[in-house]
Amino acid sequence: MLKLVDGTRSVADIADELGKTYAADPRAIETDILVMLDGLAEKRVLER
Amino acid sequence: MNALTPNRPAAPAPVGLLAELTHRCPLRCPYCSNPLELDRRSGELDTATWQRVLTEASALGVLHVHLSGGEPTARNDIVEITKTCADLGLYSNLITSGVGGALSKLQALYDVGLDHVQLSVQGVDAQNAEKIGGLKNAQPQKFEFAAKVVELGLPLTLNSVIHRGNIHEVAGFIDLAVKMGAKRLEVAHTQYYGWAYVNRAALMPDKAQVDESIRLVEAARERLKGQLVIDLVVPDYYAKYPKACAGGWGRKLMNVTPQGKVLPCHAAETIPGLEFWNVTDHSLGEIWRDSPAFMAYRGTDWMKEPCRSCDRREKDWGGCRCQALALAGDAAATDPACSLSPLHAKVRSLAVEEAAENPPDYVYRTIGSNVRSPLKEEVHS
Repeated sequence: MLKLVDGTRSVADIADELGKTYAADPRAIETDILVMLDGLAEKRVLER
Repeated sequence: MNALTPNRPAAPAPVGLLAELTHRCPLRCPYCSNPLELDRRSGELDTATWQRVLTEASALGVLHVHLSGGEPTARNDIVEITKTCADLGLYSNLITSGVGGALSKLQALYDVGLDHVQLSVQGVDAQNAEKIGGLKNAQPQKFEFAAKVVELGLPLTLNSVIHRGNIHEVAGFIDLAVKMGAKRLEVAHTQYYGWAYVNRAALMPDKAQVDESIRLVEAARERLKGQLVIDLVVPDYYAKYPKACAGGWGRKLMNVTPQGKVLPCHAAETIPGLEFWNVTDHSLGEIWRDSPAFMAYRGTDWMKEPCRSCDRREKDWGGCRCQALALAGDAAATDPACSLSPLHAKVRSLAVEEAAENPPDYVYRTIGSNVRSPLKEEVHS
């Protein structure tokens, strides 16, 4: 997932990509992605 | 493959390497974690040996290298060494005082791929900071250095070691970190080893001051969420449970001294009878797996009661071996910082008494000094 975080893709784009790769509903996994990104942003590993 | 025996726990892969490139430093902080007997320049490892050590560390699984000292930028080859980290894909953290030649080398360090900078600040008020660090005009150099780090876009951590000489400045350290644009702040209460052990009576804050510092950090963490990460290291002597020193002996970290000795933690040489191997005689992998010092307290088989049957034995790994030796007279004892140690009450009252008295003058860190501990009483005597 982190490889897809490139400063250009939106969270929805990332969810779409991952949904294709892992045959999952992108809207279902979007919440999990947001939780993880939020945690990393709080630790200042990622910038908003 | 060798069979595993109960006395020979398997070595997990190390994640971090603390490379103490030199003991030379323009600052003279009285809580320095370096040993009382400092290595001289003439005995320092050469560039090629450090590069080999880093290559071996990478092969062992190490991800994170702390380029430390002393002042690591005092070495003429700091840029080459940092480049080797980048070439090997090791995450490099420069642990620096930001004074002396640090600023003049920063651009070159950035250019070869330095990943992160950790800058020490001794105090907020310049006069106080420079008294603690023992170097005049250090504070403006540090501020200029920090500004350049942020300008380059390098992530900056400020490290403040807290003691009775600056504990009134904790709120100020937090404001300073925000003002400088740091991403992370370490509010690290002094750990009493090496020079800090010698200076303990001059450094020990009282319990009320410690509680207030913790309250300030907790409030700031909430207020600055997503802006500033604050790591808090609480002082051992007032703690309920000890820290898992270095993440457990021989589990995560190793420390290479300027002369190439490999230690499980930076204070391990204070434990008599331990045999440390040197990178000039052995590979890093051999040392990590097989050297007597790393095997001595790895795992839990060496533990005595109350550690041996304690539910927390694989959480804090019995605390710190060096502190157990210093305070209990036995490196295999429970760290007296633990409330389950029979010596805990005595250690705590020692801290309370020292904090209540007028602080003695600092014994500043010096190469070639003949320092004796001014402490009046050892706990175990």
